[in-house]
Amino acid sequence: MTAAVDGVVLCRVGGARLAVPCDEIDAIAEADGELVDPSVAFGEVLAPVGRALQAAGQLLRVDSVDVVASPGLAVLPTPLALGGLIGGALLGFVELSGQLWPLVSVRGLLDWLTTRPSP
Amino acid sequence: MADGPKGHLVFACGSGLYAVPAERASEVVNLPPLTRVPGAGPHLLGVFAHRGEVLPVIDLARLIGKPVDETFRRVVLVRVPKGAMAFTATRVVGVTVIEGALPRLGDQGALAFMHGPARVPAGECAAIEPEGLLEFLARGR
Repeated sequence: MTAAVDGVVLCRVGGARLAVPCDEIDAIAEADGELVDPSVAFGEVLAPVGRALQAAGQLLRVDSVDVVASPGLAVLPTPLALGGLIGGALLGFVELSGQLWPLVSVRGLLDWLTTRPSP
Repeated sequence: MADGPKGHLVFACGSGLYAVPAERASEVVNLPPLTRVPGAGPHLLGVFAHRGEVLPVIDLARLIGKPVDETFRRVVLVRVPKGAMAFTATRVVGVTVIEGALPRLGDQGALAFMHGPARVPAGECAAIEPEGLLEFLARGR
């Protein structure tokens, strides 16, 4: 049985792309206040101006967001070789307009970013 | 590694030659645009969709700390019962038979899943044990 997700928020962090399930996000906000910055962990550089995803009481800083409200988006399974990446927050991949987007649990990503040892 | 003679697909990745059991090499395809995976190590160049499946692209030179050659244009798709992966290839040499038991090239890391050096017409190569290497990658190098 193919897994599916009902709507995703597509985010960019520097050159990296992420898709986050809509149902995990409480709000899309201005990038103000105390933000969790994924850029170092991802090896990317954030743009000076961006947005934030609010989830689990935290704000994740990203460069841009686009909401794709389509229900029943197919989720392609994570290859075994990628097991454990992002602390297990990688849920699979969605394919949109011919591009693959890593589907990431934003709660899992925030946990990983805030608890992983400093590089 | 099994002792009997076995057909292997030999390919180059930079200055190194590598071999995978021919029955595990499912295809050689041109390298498509890749999607980077956040948090991945430098050996994992990205992923691409192929026949409805997401395949990770592994650069063997980066994985074992050899000099990197960015001129690869193709990938060798390797499939084992637990999954599939793609190795970057600067050149595909061909299929050859590798005979005899070969020692592991290292005790730990990815080299523990490479055997050799194996003598092939193109030179000396490292024979990859794909099942073990995939399990090693899955443990999160």
